[in-house]
Amino acid sequence: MTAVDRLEGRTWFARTAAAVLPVLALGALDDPELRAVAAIAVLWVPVITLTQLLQRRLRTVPARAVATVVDLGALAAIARAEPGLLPFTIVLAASIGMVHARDLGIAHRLLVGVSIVTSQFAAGVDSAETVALVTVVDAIALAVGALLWGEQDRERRRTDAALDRAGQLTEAVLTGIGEAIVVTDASGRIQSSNEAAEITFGAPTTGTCQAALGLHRGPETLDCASGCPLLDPETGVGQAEVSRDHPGGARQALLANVRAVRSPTGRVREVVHSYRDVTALKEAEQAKTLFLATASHELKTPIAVITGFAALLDQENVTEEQRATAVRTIRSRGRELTEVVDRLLLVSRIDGGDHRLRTQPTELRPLLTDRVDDLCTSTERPIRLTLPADLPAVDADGKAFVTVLDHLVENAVKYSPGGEPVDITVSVHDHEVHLEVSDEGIGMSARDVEHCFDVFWQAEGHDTRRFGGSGLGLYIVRALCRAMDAEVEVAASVPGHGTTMRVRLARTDARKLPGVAATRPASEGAMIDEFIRQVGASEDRQ
Amino acid sequence: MDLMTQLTIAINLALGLVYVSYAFLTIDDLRHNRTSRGGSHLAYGFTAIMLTCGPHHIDHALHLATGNDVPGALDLVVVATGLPTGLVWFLLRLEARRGGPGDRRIESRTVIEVLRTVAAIGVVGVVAAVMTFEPAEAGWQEQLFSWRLLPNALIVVLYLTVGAILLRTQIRRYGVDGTWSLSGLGITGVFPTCAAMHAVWMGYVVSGRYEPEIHLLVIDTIAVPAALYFIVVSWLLGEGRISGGGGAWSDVSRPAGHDEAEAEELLRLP
Repeated sequence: MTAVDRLEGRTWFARTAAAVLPVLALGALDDPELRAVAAIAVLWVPVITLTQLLQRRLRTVPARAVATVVDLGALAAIARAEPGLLPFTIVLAASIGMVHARDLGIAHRLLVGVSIVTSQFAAGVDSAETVALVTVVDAIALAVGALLWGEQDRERRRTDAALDRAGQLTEAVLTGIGEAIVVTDASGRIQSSNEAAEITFGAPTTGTCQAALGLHRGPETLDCASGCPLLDPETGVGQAEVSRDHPGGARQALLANVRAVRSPTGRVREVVHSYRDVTALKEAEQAKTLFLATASHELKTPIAVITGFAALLDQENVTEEQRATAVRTIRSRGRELTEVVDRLLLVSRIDGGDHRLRTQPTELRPLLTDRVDDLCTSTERPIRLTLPADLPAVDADGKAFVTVLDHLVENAVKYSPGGEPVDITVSVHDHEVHLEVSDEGIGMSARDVEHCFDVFWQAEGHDTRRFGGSGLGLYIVRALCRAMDAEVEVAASVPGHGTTMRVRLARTDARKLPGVAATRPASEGAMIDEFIRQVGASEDRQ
Repeated sequence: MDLMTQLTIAINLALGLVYVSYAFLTIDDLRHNRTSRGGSHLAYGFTAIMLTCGPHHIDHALHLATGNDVPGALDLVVVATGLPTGLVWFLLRLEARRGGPGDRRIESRTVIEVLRTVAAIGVVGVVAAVMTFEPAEAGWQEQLFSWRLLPNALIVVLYLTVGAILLRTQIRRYGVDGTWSLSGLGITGVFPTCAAMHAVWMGYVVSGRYEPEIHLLVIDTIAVPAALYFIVVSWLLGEGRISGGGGAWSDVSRPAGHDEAEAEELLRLP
């Protein structure tokens, strides 16, 4: 049973109750108050019955007819009409309640007939109440006629509204969808396209398909003049991977789906094309392949060293010095191996959404001073730390912040092979605290800056071998920063002159500062917000 | 005391408590968000209305309980109609405060039938009331035009206006997405039923059943400017004449310098 059914069930119950109430009230008709209540109760039932009939809601018609009969009978009694009028009243009620909606025309004629008969009968009954009742019956007959006309008019307006709504829905789907939709005629001339098409193809899609889209399938340029080459003439659909070349030389990969719209005679009238840009997907696939190669290398190198030294330890004629070197190297390479595996696991947790942080007010000063000392030792590189005198607390997770710092410093050290010092500078701003890690290393190209936070992304292939690494470090840094509502960015990078990475952390006290909304809306569920919504003010301003 | 009197007293008391609770919940919202969102004209108006509506019902219940007034059937009918709609809004607001949705969408044309039913009851009720009106004492015409009924007459008009404003939003929203907001229907129902209650009370005063007394007169007199203020704010909101940004309530811009002063004060704390 649906909610609507339940609601209708309750409505019917209320209606039935309202039908019985006036009968019970008849015994006390001398009380004008109760007469008023009874009048209210008995009149609304036929009114609603009529309304519902006009809306073609017929599931409980027999029950409603009974209620109507009882009510109109009671009404006649309340009006103190002649008892002889009751059969006519009952016939009228039965006609209203039991006639099928599609026969409403018959119902109306019946009503008019009853009206006439009642009038004739009333002529023989000289009573003011009878005349009043006849007037009521006439009025009902007229009202039903008006309602019928109104229903037809309403039906027409409903149809118009439904068409309008369907149009709006189509428009909304075409506008909101991410895929480029292009509709052409049979000769490849573009008829219409959506906004995503302009974004995907970078220009208004007008003219012929070939000129506007410039698509290739492999080395072949697609020519649509003699029909869509992607379309299977038998099935009327088609799918293919196509590409287009940007003026800058970059190649855009697209997954094309086409479907023919045929005329009743089977001729292709229009072709609906949808294009999904899979360039990023392709790049991710390439990056993953590269990652597998580099990760294998990162894992294989320490394993080879460990295996070699283990074999050395197995020999009998090993000196104490050789044994000590072997053990030290195995430990060191084992630690490297653990770090690589830890990173892979962390990325796996981040991608799986399992990595939860506890962001809370955190003092950076002790974290930074302790960790920088450790990093100086582990990286064997001078690290200069500059802290402001007054450093406010920030919203961060201590462990995640240390991981972020480790990765940034490790990158700075790795990509400045000349042994230059690394600078860590902290500055306080209106609503944020900025942490900047700068090196004087090889720097990054514009393309590296654009992609350096992508998963599995590494600088140029040769650098992978030159500097090592899995291509996960900055991806982890960005994921952890976002989980702390912080941001990481490349503040500056010049090839050959170094890079500055910046982490922007929210000040804990910034929630109280102007222009910054509280992270948890304190007014969630506020009564007045709901009232403003119901007054319609918020919608008016949209 | 007969059953009808007991029922009328109980429902009037329940309605009074529900309306006063509206006011206290709104005050709590304002207090809770004072530092981050400032004040709200609509909240002030709504609180003022509910702080007059609630006590009106409680006072009325007390007069019935002490036997000063004898309840009429129409009184019972209108308060019984108003209670469900008032409770629906109240319970939804409590749900929202506990983190729940605070609203339900109803995809049904049945609502139109219910609205038509309410309208039919209203029309038929007025007709029936006029038809069955029997003044209990001579000189009721003077009572009808007495200044003591003026606040009530104004309240009927003003509350019907608020109801119309709210109903307009509900119908417009239904036209957009084909669903009704239960919360919206709840609060929409409160004001017309309130107006009906005041109309019935006036009718009973004119017919001599109820005695106009000073407590209700004071309460109702305060309710008039409150309702007027509320309607003006609603109209200004609808016209976009007042609006706010950031974290402020939608109907109030924060006073300049308020946040800065508060921030400075906070930063001075150890």
